[in-house]
Amino acid sequence: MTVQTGDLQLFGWRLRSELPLPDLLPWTGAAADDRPPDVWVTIGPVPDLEDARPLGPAIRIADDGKVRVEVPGVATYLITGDSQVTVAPALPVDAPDIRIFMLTTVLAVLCYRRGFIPLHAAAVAVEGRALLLAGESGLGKSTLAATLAARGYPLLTDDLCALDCADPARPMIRPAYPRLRLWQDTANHLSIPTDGLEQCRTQLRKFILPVAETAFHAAPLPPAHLVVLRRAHLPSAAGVARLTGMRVLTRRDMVHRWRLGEALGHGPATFTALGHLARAIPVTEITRIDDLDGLPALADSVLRLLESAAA
Amino acid sequence: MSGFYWIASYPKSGNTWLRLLLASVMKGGGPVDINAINVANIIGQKRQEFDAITSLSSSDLTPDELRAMRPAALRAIAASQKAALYAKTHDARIQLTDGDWLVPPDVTLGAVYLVRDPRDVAISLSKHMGVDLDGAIALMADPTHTTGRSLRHLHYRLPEFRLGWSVNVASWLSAEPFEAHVVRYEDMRTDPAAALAGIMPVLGVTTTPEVIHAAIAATALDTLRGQEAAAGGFVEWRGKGGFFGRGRVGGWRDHLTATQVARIEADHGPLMRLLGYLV
Repeated sequence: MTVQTGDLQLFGWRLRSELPLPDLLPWTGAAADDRPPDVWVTIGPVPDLEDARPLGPAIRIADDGKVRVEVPGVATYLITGDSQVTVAPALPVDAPDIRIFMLTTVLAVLCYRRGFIPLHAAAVAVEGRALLLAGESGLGKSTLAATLAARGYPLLTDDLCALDCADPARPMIRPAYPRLRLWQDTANHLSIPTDGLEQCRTQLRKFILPVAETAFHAAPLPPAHLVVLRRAHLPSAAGVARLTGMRVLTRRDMVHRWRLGEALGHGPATFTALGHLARAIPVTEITRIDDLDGLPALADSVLRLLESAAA
Repeated sequence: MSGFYWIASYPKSGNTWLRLLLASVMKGGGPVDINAINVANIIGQKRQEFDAITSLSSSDLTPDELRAMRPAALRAIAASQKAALYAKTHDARIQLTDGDWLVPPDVTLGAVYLVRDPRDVAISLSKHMGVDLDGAIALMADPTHTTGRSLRHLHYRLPEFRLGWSVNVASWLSAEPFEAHVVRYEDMRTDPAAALAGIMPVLGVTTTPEVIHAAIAATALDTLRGQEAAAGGFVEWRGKGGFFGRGRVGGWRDHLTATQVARIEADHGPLMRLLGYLV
């Protein structure tokens, strides 16, 4: 096979890809060893899987476990087992549009299959532990992560990280790759120039901002605190609450593609892993009126939560 | 049977009032809370719901892709539920390039469409959208008007395809892709009991005149405005002033200039005549 770039690393896996994935770190450094690749990404035709079970408009799941993800006009992806991804591009192979679905939906399936839970959370390192920021899309997880990264806290991910509960008493957070995705208005607000930055999608002014190696934490970290952001529609609803027990376990919005995970049989594992996480660290829900101007104050209050939990 | 009962309208045409009436009727005519309607919420436009049902991140999809996937997402939502769903919508019923309908007939159980004199809509829409009257009149005349389709930031809701007042109204008056029960807001204000007696069966609800009268009393505008003031707002809307207005019929005579009236009548004359708003 042709390998256009050297091997890559993601969540501790060695990944070999015919699809250019410049967002990922190379398979080098302390983590590298000479094992064969854990995950292979090849470019080739993807079958229709017409008899497979549909899960919404984009996904089909075959009886043998093959998962087909189709984004019309972008690419079709086939995940076979826990190690093989075939991509049939509808755009040039280096189009960032193809990567974005590879690094969200397809990556979530690989996580489930390889024994991790894909958390729908941004994360930064604070004093050697991972501060997790979860909550529904559009509530500012990425923006808050960017704000904290700008204050010097190394980034682990802006959207998806892997929860590894191999040792249930000591859950670990595996970082993703050194990129932030920021919308034009957010970048402007944070005074981040977007000239020359690649866009996630050709039509969307949502930019891929590379994060310097020194500003990224590549090694797994134990979690410190999980903050769940929630939108307040009325000022009176704003507030901070500690979540425990079932209130954590039933927050499926903390998990990337939970419905797909359940359809693939990983529902119980997800529930168990969230239980381990909830036992290991405090979970705090911050309900707020979402506005960019309130971000510095939100960053302050999130950091204070860590201090008060540590005290 | 799963599928949707639609409560459809162009914005500011009595949709929320009808949802509250339905909520009250379902409780036997009991009181309602504007901040916990829980009946006929918007469906198909919630980011989290779309992401869960499609297993894709809507934030990575373009407005055109989101529109193309909407019917399939609605079918998947319907298929995931055993019971019928009540859904509010302000979308026009457009046919997509692949022939599918934005509001798919095969998962529709029934639909009520509320229509209101566009001259009154303009006043309410101006307040609602935070634009001046001329701006509201321009939005109502824009056959491409879509909310939530900015390419520069993540909108809280997925795109809403309003497409201007005339396109919206005409799309729901049409027999294609299915018949909707069309009710004039003005008729619902004049005789709500009669209007509801026609609406409830379309929504699959069996009720009695006593329950309907109790629901009308429970949703008096004074009550709704009072709740909004007491709660500091209406959860479904953020903007200046109050969401619940006076529900007035013919208020345009006091608020629009002759030029503004002429413009609305020029923009929407044919449908206004058809609906009896112009003679």
